[in-house]
Amino acid sequence: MIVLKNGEEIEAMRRAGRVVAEAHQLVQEAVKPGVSTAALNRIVEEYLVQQGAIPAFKGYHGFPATICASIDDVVVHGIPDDRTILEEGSIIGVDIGAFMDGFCGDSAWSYPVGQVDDGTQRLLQATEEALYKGIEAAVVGNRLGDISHAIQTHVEAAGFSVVRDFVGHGIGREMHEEMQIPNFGPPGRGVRLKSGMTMALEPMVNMGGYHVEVLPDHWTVKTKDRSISAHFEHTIAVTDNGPIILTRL
Amino acid sequence: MAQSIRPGQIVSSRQGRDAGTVYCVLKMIDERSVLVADGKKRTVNRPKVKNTRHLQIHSHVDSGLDQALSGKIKVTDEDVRKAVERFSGREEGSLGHGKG
Repeated sequence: MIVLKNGEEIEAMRRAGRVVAEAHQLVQEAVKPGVSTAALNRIVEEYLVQQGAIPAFKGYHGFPATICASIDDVVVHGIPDDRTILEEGSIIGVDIGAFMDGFCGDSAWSYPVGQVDDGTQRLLQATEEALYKGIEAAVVGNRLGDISHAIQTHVEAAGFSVVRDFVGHGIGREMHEEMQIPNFGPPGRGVRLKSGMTMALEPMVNMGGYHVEVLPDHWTVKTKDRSISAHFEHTIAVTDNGPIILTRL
Repeated sequence: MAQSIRPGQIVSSRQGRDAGTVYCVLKMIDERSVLVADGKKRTVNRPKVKNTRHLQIHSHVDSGLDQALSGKIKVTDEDVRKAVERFSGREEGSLGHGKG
């Protein structure tokens, strides 16, 4: 059952979302060559705890860290560690989730490490734009497929591919609530959008083909062809006044 | 944190007489339905069709099964049972009651 949220609940989700957005600001300032992914994890964890938030990923089905740190050909769910050091020209996707007042906020952003080449910059730009195209389509009366189609169309027009095996999701009191939101598919299909639906939209976009594989740690997802991949995510609410981004300052 | 819908995915039934049972996804039939097995009551040769809306989808993908299923390698009931057990062990571990 899709749980619709009232105004108060959406405000609570906005508080959770704000903390996540603030943590992303800290990450953005910290991302530079020579920094380990474990250091980024510590920065976020300390901030969330200091704000009274509960990291949503740590311990989630055994995930060992507060953030997912996914470098270059890692699509999602990379596990931070002290030996993984950021290098000039790479990109790192940082995914952060936190509970505040019983509600969850979830947001991911791919950051360039120093200067990246033009192709990588285009990948980052196309993926971020695709996220906002999806959000624009998240209006009452549209269907879920309209969001998926908007994302896929924008990504493929830019010459990149959308990951099929991992999808966005409903979110609220739980990080993963009912609703799966693929980043591909035909328009006009799926659930009709209603005011009060809350969801995490998250295009994962590969420079090469869309196939991915899961590494033996059961978490790290890499592109099959080892092309680089970008990931942008916002938690949003569908309202009568249009979509509201809850993980933005 | 993205959700996955792929072979090797660990899921739990939320509705039906099997509610609470942990399964492994063997195959996507279409965007709404999947074939699942637990290696015990529901075997690889007699999997169950489940509507994805009736499943709780965990973010855990068993990498061994993922690679076997995507590589079209024959998967046995023992493989599926072990994948489910590995997940259940992590679940307990995450709650601090098991070995993780």
